[in-house]
Amino acid sequence: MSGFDSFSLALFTTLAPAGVVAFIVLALVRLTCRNHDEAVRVDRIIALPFAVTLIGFIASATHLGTPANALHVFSGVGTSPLSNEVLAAVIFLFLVGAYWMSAFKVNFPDCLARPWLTVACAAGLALIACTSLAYSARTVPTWDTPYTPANLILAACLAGPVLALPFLALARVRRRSIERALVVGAATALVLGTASLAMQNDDLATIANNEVSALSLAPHYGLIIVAYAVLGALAVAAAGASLGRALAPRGVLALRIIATILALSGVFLVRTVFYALHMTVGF
Amino acid sequence: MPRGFFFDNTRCTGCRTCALACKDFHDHGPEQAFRRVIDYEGGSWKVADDGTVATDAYGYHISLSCNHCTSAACTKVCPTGAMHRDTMGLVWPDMNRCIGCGYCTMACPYHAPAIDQELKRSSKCDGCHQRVAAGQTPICVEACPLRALDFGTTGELAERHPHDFDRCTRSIMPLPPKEATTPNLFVLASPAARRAEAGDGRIANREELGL
Repeated sequence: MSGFDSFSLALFTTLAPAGVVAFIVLALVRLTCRNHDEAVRVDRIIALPFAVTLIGFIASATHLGTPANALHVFSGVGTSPLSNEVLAAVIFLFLVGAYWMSAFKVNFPDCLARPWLTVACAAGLALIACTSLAYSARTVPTWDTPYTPANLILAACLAGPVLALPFLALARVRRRSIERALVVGAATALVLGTASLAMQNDDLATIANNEVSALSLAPHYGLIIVAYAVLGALAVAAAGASLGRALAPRGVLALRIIATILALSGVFLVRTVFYALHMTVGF
Repeated sequence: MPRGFFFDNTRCTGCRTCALACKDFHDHGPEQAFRRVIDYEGGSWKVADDGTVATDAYGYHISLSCNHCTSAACTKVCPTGAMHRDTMGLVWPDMNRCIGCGYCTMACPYHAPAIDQELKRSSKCDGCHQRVAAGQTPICVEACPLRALDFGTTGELAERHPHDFDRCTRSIMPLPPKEATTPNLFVLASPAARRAEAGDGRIANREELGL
């Protein structure tokens, strides 16, 4: 038994990076807010990307056999990529969770909110970087490629902006320029991400150990990449449609929730294949 | 000096006594095994025009457990330091630190570690470290009826096998190239294993190995 549960880890690597990017979007909106009421509403909504990241983190912990020993994880910081990832996640969740609670204080000062959010954004970027590098084991040739970090980061840049849109709608912050930028950003990430996945799929033909060819581990990868592209395109389309001026707020929110579900489903599919691609340089 | 196994591939008959002795000593059930035997086969046979049959078929066995590698992949990825090298150079997981994340099982190209479903932690060959500390050899070495296995520091192994040790390799098919983890496994390759270098063989007992 390997102990690696691909479902919980695929869920973690889908939700956590998307939650982080959505948080960064909200933080940037909050940092550029001139209107105090609007800023407060954004502060409250920060609970949602925090929750998405936290759910991912908890999902990843469910595959641990003995979570009681979890505090020892910090002893591997600097040497084990998994320790680096867990530390980055704990720092990010602590900063964002503490920010969200502190922001309930009446007259929460901007001079505190700004540096706090900036540091939390940096912690979020560190978390995405550490998650993308968590699988760089030299003995696993299908994971130890530039496609591993590239695919994870590009998937986060697709799902994250889409996920931020319903949060902005719930916060009743409607800024056309930002919303348009999010849709364009997600569409760009979708194109680049699909290209990266397709190149990775091509590259699998060159990877084999003494017993197994990487191609045989994910024979339907091509189809799944097409599904990713289609789900991503539908998500971008739904998100784009939600920018229409004629829509009622409820319609906007509904379209954005649908877009989010579509984008996260697409990312989850390719993340599942990532774990199926595990093989070593041995047999 | 690193400690590891000497394996005489020319002697091994694939009898599994090593694997069963290990199972017995560590009180393992059917689903657990620190030492396993790979059956590796290749080649074929042809019927000539005159009705005679010619064959280039070959087969051999590899008794394999943990190789207590000098650059062990399992210790590198372990987030808690549970998978560690002890003062005798043996690699094994500390039960008080292991979280059972399974990363060692993913990284090891020999499939040595596995998550123990009862302990919910990583478990693997510890080189019978308590026996070794008491001056004995691991139980598998003691059990081998062909004397195909030995264990010790590289210096001790070179001394005990003066004619063979210099001819040993650290990798035969289907094991990973030695550069991957620098295993402390010294294999005296059989003619069949040299024949297999062409790459046309395969593991014949994948199911038994849990692969």
